[in-house]
Amino acid sequence: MAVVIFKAIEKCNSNCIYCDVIKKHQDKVMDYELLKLIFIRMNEYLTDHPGEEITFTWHGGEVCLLGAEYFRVAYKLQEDYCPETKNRINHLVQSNLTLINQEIIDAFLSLGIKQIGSSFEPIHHIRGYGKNRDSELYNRKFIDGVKLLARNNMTWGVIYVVHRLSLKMPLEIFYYLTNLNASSHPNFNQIKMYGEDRHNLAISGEEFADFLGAIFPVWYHHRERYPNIQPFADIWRNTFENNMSMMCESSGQCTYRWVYVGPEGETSQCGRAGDYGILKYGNLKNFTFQEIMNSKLRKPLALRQKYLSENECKNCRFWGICHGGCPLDAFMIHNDFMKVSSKCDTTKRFIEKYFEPVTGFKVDFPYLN
Amino acid sequence: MIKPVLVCPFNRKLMDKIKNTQFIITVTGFDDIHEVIKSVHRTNELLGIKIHTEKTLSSIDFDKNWEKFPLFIYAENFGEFLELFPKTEIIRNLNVHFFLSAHNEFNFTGLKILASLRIHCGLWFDKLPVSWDLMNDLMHYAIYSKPKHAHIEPFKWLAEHYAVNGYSNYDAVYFNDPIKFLHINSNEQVAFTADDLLNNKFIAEGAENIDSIQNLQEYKDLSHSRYESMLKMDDCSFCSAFRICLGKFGYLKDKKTTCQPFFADLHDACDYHLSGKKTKENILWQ
Repeated sequence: MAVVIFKAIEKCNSNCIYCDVIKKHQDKVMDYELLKLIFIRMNEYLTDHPGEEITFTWHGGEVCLLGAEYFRVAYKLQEDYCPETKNRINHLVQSNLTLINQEIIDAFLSLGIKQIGSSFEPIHHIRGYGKNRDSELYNRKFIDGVKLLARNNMTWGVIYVVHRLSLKMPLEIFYYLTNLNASSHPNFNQIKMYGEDRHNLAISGEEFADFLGAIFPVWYHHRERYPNIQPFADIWRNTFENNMSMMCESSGQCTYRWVYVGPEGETSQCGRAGDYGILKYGNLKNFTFQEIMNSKLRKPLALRQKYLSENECKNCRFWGICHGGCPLDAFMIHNDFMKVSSKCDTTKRFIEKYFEPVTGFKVDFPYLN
Repeated sequence: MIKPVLVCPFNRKLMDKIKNTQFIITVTGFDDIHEVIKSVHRTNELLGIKIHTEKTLSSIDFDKNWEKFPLFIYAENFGEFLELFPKTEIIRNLNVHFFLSAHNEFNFTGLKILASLRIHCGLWFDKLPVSWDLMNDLMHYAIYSKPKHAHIEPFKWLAEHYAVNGYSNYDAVYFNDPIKFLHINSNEQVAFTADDLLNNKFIAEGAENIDSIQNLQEYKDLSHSRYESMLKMDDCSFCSAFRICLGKFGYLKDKKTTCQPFFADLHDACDYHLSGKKTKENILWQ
């Protein structure tokens, strides 16, 4: 399955402290002509690959700034230009939910979108509007959005970005987020800083592991209550159920599956590559999806798996759940794809210091390549 | 959408006016029980009679003619065991559930006695529980104790209805979960809870409007009302047991040594009960 991270807009209505979008001050919005071309390109790709599907992730910026009409047009374009392949395009949305309204929801539903990925932060003035990041107003709007989703029988989940202030209250944050949504549980991600860390929010891989480690015993003893907390659930399944489904950065399989499409049709490896401005594969105006998905510029990522498993990661018992971590993170730190990312420290510390002592099991994941 | 049950005072005029509805009737005197039964319109269904009494439980004169009707008797005090004991045979033949105030220390012992006599019973929270340790002790008896005993509420209800990946409102035990029960007074004013009714927080007026309440956005949003609690970002929203408590003791100042440890233990007990149910389903030789 190909995963398209689609940023028709990079502008956002919020001023979250750790977000790159605000720093870029991007105002570009993809026009309808180009949007039409995206659907034409997807149709070409899916027609040529009858067994394939595309996960089309509406990402931003804040997608709701596009307005309901934009999604209605997208639906019309899909109907017109993907008549035989539309059932193999699965739309997903990432939104902060603070601007969502019934019109947008109706448009989402027409595209088959029934769940929305979001983010939330119980600590004040991290996510919010304006210079001082008005989190009170932001949270009010978020909850209004969540209620609207519930009225429409739509589901939602959050990614929680772990930063320096989170380190003081891991369990409180865990309980808050699982109380906020008991049926869809949070995914904890380490903060990614772009450029200068003006607010001293960056944390190391070890600190992130310690954050996870503070929550893990509670999760382990109550894992039926909180079945899908990430990254715990993935590590658990990989350990005991031999179910090797992992986040993109740990899967080692992102090379030929992901593509980022920006507001002017520019493409790169994934959303993070788009943010970093690396691994650019050309513009969809000039290349087909097939050409972009198979771009020779992706080759270093494919080689990285083999290289790391024979060098830095050779005989590492965590290889099967880490695969050297995100190649883009490695590149941003070492200017070299053939290095492990900082996730290596997180994985090792979390498993050795927390996972194994708490569960009593010794893990071994060397076998998956 | 299931039509909510109406909780209302005994009022013939009101009951004649409302048709095709399930009722819980509240009375304050035992003499009213027969009158209530006679007065319920044939298109309506009487689910139970809720009686608040100032008498001690042991001093109530139980009438064997009450046997057909579910009675929910709320008393402040258990009273004397020696006074109650001769009445246990007649009580066992009634469909009666006793609720004793959590404010009185001896009631916790009284509830264990009742449960061990196979009489369904429970706590009710008119005031603060006298002791969280006693609450915990009673909860452990209600859920973990192996010798057979009757249900003790709200623990048994929570254990049975516990939604492991959802929220559980044990106010249903007290006919006070607005998704399942609506409260109406003799002036035909309707509220979501008994407290709302007392505090004049009405959602509708007029018996003829009851059926349209389910169409109100306010009613539809009830199941999402917890989101408002989360917005407060108070101690309850960060509590491990919010999902089974829903902030009912949010007014307490020191939650870390009172309600929070208790509800955390109750949460574990719910998990234990659930795992027991699963085990029973799986082991064939049992």
